[in-house]
Formats: sequence, structure tokens, C-alpha cells
Amino acid sequence: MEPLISIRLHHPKPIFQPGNILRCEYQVDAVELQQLTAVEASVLWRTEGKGDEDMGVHFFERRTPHEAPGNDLRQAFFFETSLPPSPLSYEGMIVRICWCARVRVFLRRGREVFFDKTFRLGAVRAAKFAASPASVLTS
Amino acid sequence: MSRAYSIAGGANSNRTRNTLARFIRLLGKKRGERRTGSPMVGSVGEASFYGGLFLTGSLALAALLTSHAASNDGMSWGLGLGVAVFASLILTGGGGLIFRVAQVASSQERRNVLASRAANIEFIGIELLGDDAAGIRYPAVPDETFFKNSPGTRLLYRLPSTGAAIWKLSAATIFCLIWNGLSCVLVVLAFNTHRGGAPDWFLTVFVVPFVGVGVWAIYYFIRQLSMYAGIGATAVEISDLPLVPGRRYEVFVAQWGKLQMDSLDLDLVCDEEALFQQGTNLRLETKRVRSQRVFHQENFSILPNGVFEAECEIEIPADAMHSFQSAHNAIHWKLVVRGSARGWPEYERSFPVLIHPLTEPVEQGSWNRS
Repeated sequence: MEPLISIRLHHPKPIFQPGNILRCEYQVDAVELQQLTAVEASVLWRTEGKGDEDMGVHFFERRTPHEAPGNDLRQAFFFETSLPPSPLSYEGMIVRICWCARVRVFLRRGREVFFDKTFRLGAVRAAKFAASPASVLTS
Repeated sequence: MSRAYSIAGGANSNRTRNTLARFIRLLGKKRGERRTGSPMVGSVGEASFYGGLFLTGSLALAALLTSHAASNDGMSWGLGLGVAVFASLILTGGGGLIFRVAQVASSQERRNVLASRAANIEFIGIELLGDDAAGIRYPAVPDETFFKNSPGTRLLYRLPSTGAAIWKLSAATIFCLIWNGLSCVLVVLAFNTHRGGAPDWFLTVFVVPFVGVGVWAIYYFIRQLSMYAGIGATAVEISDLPLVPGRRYEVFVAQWGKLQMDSLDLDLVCDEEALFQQGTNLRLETKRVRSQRVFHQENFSILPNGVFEAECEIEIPADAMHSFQSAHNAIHWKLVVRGSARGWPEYERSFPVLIHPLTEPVEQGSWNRS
């Protein structure tokens, strides 16, 4: 049985502008207390599409049982961060840039589970047309 | 926390990864950087390999040094070589083991954060990446220094050219020299067999297509050289950098060379680039996602020692994506000059520009002049 990871963004819509404050609450549930060794929360961008995946972490915090009240990592935690001016979310033809809040749970015996809550940063329109549809492939 | 959470996890979640496979498989497939099979088995295997390398090196080095001490022999080349080989085993094994353990003990996000912090460590009082560096103020946006290092004569900046012409000419020169050098050696060898009265017909037949390719290489080299020297330089200047979506800028284009031009175009284009592994090959795919005509002129002449000059304006689309650069993906904006001159093949020269993300509202179409 894998734990349930819940992430909630305190914002009416998952659309933000650079400089906005992202407030986030997360909780890990349906897991025994002794099973949890650490929980990491991060706000990051990553690329999707044809190229190999790249990633940039904007915010990161790691909690271990010693740092949590009552040594219990299953309670709800909160963090907030001011979002950076770039890179903005983008839906391209072969490159996509996605922002997300990620919670990664470390369990006993080296097991890991994570969940992403995606959101948009900025208002860049998707690349809908291509003036030159042919791709150029070089080795 | 009254509203519903986004809940994931469990067997049906396709967002959950890096969990231990139920049945450990020793064999797996590699797809780019992704691999099937158990990551834990892979990590243990890799750590064992490097650990074994380290132990082998340590034991062998200890045995070599103790046996040498017991024999009371002096220093020799053999001893030095043995020490170097075993020390390299120790370094490779130890370094690999430490790297592997560091990867196991932390997540991808944590490693990314540690790497970013390491880049910001002050080194002898100098911060490697200051807060004012463009890379910090605008993460994943290329540094503006490259674009702004050349002042213009008419407008504020002259844009750097990334045209492929000089690379084509260099490649043609190197290929032509190497191929024709080899051809000369083969021709002389074949000629000597004929002169000596024992002609080597296999070598002779083999030399003919070899020389043919050499002649084509000379023709291609001369064509590239004449294109490079004959068409003349192209310069593009702009009133400000970096560019901001929604703003207008002045652009100046100059074309040198004695030419009868059929057409000259200037386009603002946006290219996406993706670098990926396919098997053991590294491939780069480029896709043009936006193209906007800025300037067009037909049927004009450029006199000897003269220059064609034109001024125009560009408006960066308000919803345009900013320039972006990461390890394997990029979004590049550039001004592209395309020319067609009588007696010459069509040519294209690119001048990259930098577009920053919009951080404050801009009045649509407002000017940025030098």
C-alpha cells in the first residue's frame, strides 16, 4: 500500500504571474508513522517534449522525523515562495516548460513516491503555427 | 483545508515513479536516460563495481609496495608504472563509489539545489554568479553579454552573426586538403607501379573515383570561398537589447558587395531546439515555430564599394515566449537575412537576439529607441 500525497495551492486558479506568492499546503496520509523517513517539498520547472528532460528547482525544503512536531511527518505542512520571472510556462512544438509543486516521500527500505501539482507561470501563448513546418535534424 | 485535495499515489497513479519493482529484474532496457528494471539493483551493481575497482587497486598497490620494500631494489620504471596504474584504479573506484552513494542518498531535486548553491559559493572573495548576473535575475534565460558586446554605428548594438558560411568554408577547406593529400599519395603509388612495368590495376581502378571525389571537393571549396568573399558582409543593428514582448524596436540592415539583388528579406523567427539521445547518438532537432516578415525589397543593385542600407522596425509579439536555454532544450529568437543575388545561390545569415520575459505591463507597441 502506497501513501497518499495531497497538495493544495492556496490560489483560486493554478495560474500565476512572475513575482506572485505561491502558498502551498501538503500532507502525507495512509502510511504508518514508522514507515516515513523524510518528506521533500519543492517548486520546480521541468521540460517535456522531444529533448532530454531538464529541471530547475526554485524552492526546496526537506523534513525528517526529528524536525517535525511529535516526530510525525503525516501532519499538514505549509510553505510559501515568491515565483521567479523565468522560465515561463510554455507549450511549444518540441519543447514544453511545466511548473509544479512536488512532494516526494521517502519510505523505509529505499522506497520513494512523489506527486506533482502543476500550475502555469505567465501568459505565454502556445506555439500554434509554424512558419516552416519542416524540422531539421542533425547528428 | 476544507476543499478537496489533489490526491495521487496508489497503484493507478501514473505520476508515481521510482518505486521498487515488485520482482527484481537483472536485465533491463535503456531508452535515452530512462531505464526499465529496478533502480536499486542498478545502484547496488554500480556501487559494487566501483567498490571492487577500489579494493583491487588498494590490494595490488599494497602488495607491490610491500614486495618492493622487502626486495630492497631501487626505483625503476616498472615500479613507477605499477604505482600509476594501481593508483588510477583506486581513484576511479573511490570517486565512482562516492558519486554513486551521493546519488542514492538524495533526490533529483535535492541534487539540483545543492549544485545551484555550489555555483553561488564565494571563491576568494568573488561570488561566481552575482545576484545581478542575468542568470540569477532571469533563470534559464541566456546571458545578455554575448549579444551586447558590439556597439553599432547607426543604432545602439550590432548583432553577432551565427551564420554557417564560415563553418561551411572551414569544413570544405579541411576536407579538400585531407582528401586531396591522400589522393596525391595514391596517384603517385599507382603511377610508380605503371612506370616500373608491373601495373597494379586494382590500385589504379581504386584511385579513379578517389580522384573524382577530390576534384568535386576542390570545386565545392572554390564555390564556398567565392560565395564567402563575393557576396560580401551583412550587418544588422538594433536600437536596444534585451528585447521585451509588446515593444517596438528600430532595426538597421546593411549589405556589402557588388551585387545585382533579386530580393533581400529580413525575418524575425523563433526556433525551438531539443537535444536528445537516440541509442548511442546525440541528436539535435530544430523546429521553427514563429516567423514574422520585417523587411522585403526586390530588384536593386549594390555598386562596387557601395553598401545597401535599410531601416525598419520590429514589434515583438506581446504573447511571445522569452529566450530560453537549458542543458538539452532551448528557444532561440533571431533576425534572419535571406538574400538572392543574380549569379549566386541563395544565402541566409542569422543574427540572434535576446528576449526577456515580461515582468511589468508594457503599453502595446511602445517604442524603445537608442
